[in-house]
Amino acid sequence: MLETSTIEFRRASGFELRVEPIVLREGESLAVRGPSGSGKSTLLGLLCGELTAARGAISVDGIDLTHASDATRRNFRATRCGQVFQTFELVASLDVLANVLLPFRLHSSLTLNTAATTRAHELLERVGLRGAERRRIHELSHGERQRVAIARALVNQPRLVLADEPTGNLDPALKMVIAQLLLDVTRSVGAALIVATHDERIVPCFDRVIDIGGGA
Amino acid sequence: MILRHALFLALHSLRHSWKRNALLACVLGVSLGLPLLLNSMLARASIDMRARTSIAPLLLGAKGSESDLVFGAMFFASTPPQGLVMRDLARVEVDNLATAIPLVLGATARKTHIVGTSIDYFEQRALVLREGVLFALIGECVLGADVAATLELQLGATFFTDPADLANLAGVFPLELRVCGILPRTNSPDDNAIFTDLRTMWSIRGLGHRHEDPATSTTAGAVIGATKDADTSTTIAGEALPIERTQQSDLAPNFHFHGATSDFPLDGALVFPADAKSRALLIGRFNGADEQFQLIRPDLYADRVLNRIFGVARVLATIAYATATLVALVVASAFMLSMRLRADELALMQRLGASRGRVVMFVTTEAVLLVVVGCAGAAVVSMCAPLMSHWVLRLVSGS
Repeated sequence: MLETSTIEFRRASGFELRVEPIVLREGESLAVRGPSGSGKSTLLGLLCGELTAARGAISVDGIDLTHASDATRRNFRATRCGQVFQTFELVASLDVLANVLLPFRLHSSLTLNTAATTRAHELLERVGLRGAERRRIHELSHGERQRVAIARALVNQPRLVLADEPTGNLDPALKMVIAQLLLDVTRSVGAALIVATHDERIVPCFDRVIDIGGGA
Repeated sequence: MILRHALFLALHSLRHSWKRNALLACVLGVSLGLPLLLNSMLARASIDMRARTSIAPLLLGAKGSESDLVFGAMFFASTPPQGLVMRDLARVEVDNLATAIPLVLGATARKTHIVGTSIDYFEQRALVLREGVLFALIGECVLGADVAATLELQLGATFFTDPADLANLAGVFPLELRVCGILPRTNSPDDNAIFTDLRTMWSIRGLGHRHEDPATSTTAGAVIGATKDADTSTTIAGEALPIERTQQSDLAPNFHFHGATSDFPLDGALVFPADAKSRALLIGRFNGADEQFQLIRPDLYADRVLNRIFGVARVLATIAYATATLVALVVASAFMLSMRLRADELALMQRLGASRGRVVMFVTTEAVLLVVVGCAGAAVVSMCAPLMSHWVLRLVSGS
């Protein structure tokens, strides 16, 4: 499903990242561990096609992201990739359901129809937010917001889910709950999951772990 | 489909910060609407004024303020210069050069101007009554459409004229008026006037009155003295009584005017020359340096006034447009600032697969909606022009 060669990435600031080959199959999970500034987020950026590697190849479901056009990468992010962020990145002006369905309004490859709406409702139920469809984002707790973000990441039936410090803004008690929820929901839809984290407590939950120790 | 999504996101975003966006739209609406209002208002006022001043080719009045004569005699809004009397009309009607329609002004009823004139006024203006008949008796009146609606008066209703000065017994008499006709709406000063016969207006001014029969009167003040001895009995009739105390049908027997009607005052006269030559002749006759009267062309007067007003208005409009431009720039800056504050949200859209073009479209849709709401506000503001043009005319006329 996901296959990379050794990837190298450089920024103009002098930052360099080198990641050994990764192979990940459907339903598998991978934790990318490393201290702040080590390049975990950069790696996720490379894997979703936001950034371009200086050297190496990244292939997801047969799509060569390294040499793909911008349009192909956008299409990949919209249709085959789900993303969860540390700061939730929800749109304050939209309610819970509209936030979950947001990807359908951003790319013409996705069609907002009854099936999509039904799926959004199912995902909200699965993350424990049944009945919260019309609530505003500011009315939600941090844990609830991250649940909405997880539902949004999965609404487009992605093949690969990337989560950047998904528990970074949560209380310690919530960290394991959200991490486990992310794993369970992702597995249930058969997607591969890569989580960037420096939280040692959630690392054992994942199938595999790679360490990124380098940095600027 | 894309537009539907753009509208969805834009509407939600605008609604989310509705106070800020409403303020921006209001500022935009008012700043864009004011210059539009100014132009529209003046254009409307110009049309109204030209239309009104074209009802008569010439206007006759006593020497004095030209504007008082025009706005008094044609807009019933100010008091024309005094000095014209009935017999002066002969100067314009001699040799069949013109027809003159006399006007007497200066009285009000329920704060509405009363215009004394002849029935020729309605013929010349081609005014056909909406209901009722033209006045024939003293005390009968025809109402303009707005007066009838505002004062809620119908045919046969009676009401009193306003006393000009309650302490002045020799001044304007309150007179009971009876509605005999109602005009249709003409969108002119006629709508806001009460029309009546010249004799009624002179009666209001105290030139016509009645006395009660001293022998039978029980009215206080109706009898000022009486002597009675074995052979004779004399009773002296008292003060002239306002007509308000009688019924309309009682007017004829004891009502009278003092003096010759030809000496009775007028405030102006609409003059309709027989032809262009007659008009030129008449204007020439009133051009003398020692002339006591003025015969003016109202249309030329309106041109002069409007040119002056539009000169000032052009300056105001330039200022208003400059202000609107500045305000639009400020609003645009505020909008751009709000977009900067939402940079994370816009970046998120791109991270989730939206192209830069689509994000720009979302932002543009939001801006367009804001401008549309602002323009709608501007339209509402500029739609006040008809009301404001009326106000402009009142301001110019000093009424």
